[in-house]
Amino acid sequence: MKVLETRGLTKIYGGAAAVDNVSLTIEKGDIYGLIGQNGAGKTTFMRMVTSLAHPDSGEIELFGKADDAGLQAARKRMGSVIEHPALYPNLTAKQNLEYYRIQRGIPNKGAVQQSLEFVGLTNTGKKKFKDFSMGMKQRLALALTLMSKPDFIILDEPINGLDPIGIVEIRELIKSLSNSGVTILLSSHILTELSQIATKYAFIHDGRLVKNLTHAQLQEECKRALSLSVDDVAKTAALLETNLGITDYKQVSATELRVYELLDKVPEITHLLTSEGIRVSAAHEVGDSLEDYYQKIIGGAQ
Amino acid sequence: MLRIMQADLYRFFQGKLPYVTAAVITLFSAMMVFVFQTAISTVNVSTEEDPILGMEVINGAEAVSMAFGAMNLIMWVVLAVGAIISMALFDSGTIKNEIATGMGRIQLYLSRLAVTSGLTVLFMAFFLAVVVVFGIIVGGLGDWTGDLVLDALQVFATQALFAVGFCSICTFLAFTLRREGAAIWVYIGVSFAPVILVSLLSLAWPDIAGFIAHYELASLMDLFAEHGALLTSFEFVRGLLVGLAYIAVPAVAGILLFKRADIK
Repeated sequence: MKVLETRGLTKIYGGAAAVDNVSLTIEKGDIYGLIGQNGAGKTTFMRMVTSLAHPDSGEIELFGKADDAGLQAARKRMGSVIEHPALYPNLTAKQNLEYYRIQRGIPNKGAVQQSLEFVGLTNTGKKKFKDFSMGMKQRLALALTLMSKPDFIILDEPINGLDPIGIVEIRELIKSLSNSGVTILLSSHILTELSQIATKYAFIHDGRLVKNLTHAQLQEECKRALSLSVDDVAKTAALLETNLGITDYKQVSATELRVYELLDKVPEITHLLTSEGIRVSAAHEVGDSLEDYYQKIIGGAQ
Repeated sequence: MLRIMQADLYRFFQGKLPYVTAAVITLFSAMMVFVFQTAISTVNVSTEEDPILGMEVINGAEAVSMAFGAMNLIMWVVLAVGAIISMALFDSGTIKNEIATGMGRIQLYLSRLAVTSGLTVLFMAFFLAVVVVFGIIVGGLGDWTGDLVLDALQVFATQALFAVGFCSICTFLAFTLRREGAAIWVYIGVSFAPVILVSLLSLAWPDIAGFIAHYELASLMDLFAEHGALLTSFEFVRGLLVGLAYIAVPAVAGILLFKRADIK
């Protein structure tokens, strides 16, 4: 089931496209990572989805609704933290959530306490929001989004400004939300961090969507492997299985085989193949680290 | 919309501001009553020359007209307090939480106008009540008649109408500029420039200035507070219509602009 679908979404600021013809689909249960450098258009995209900014062209479909009235109603099923956690600085955590409980007409008064418990902020007492650390602010903003029990949450750079412990806490919270069936769209400019939670990715650069892939595809793209260029791929595969017990390999083309294990045994592998009459024209390691891959994608887009 | 207003009132009364405002109003009222009590006992002025200084004694009944004489002054103070409701939305960025969860922009705008107006009128009523109480403390109940009460209600209603006009301008600026500092300065300019202009014009062209006074909100407030009973029916109705226009025009313009605005 589609939660969000955008078609040709475009936003222009001062003659330049901040978001340029972005079409993507988020399915129920996804943890969708939007990756891009600062200023790539991630936040603008999220602002359009949340109605904070009006698209110049394109369409947004949320929970199957694309007309204005339907979208407004559908947004009631959504929670979001865009740019930075925005709550009233002079109110405590409990007062802030109580304010929104009243405003949103949530009849269960216990919802405030439950949300605070979920994010581990029950012991902040009379401390005001303005005195919270960035991690606490992020968690309280998350508690606010959860209080309405949303089906879809949008988090813009949720780990920005957090210390390592704060990052782990937010990551665990996002995972537990996903486990409870909430669909999540989150942005980051740190692929390594996003790769620990996201199930799907969209790379955005200069407002354009440059790559869209699943977690498995990303893993595949970034997997280290030994690329063997040989004259007989089938025989090579058989030899590797029989003699070295290698089973994790993939035929990439008629002349290339990629081997994903025993990467520290390259001399033994090539010796085996040549001694069995296989002509090995090239043998080298391939595959990117996440950061290399990210740079390759972004670089390719430039 | 009611829930938004209810939540705003909850937030407002969680802070110290309403209590500080009430204390300031009480202190101002006490000083005003006691200073005037001292003044009228030392100055020999007839009621024709000055209706307030010409009083023989301040009491509860006489304090009503005194309160209306200072109502516009108090209105500025309480309006600033009420306006914080709208300003804080943009200053803290919390307006994003509301729009992003599907709340209608018209609802958001009108509920903030209603809350600002309600609080402003509430504090104006509080000021009236406190001045009357101090008047009673100083000089007793005084001569309360049905006409006095009806007149007081009528003057208060017109003052409230004009105050809501100011609230509408204030809400318009808050939702259009969406920056606390800018909104405050523009509001001060918009509020005081016409008053200063009318004062300057009255030096050179008293008739034109008198005419403008029927269309300028602060002047109208003074006119209805001090000379409401002397106005013709035409002038009275015209004043009310001008007051309503000051509410409606900024509200409609503010909603239209806010509906199209991108929120940062």
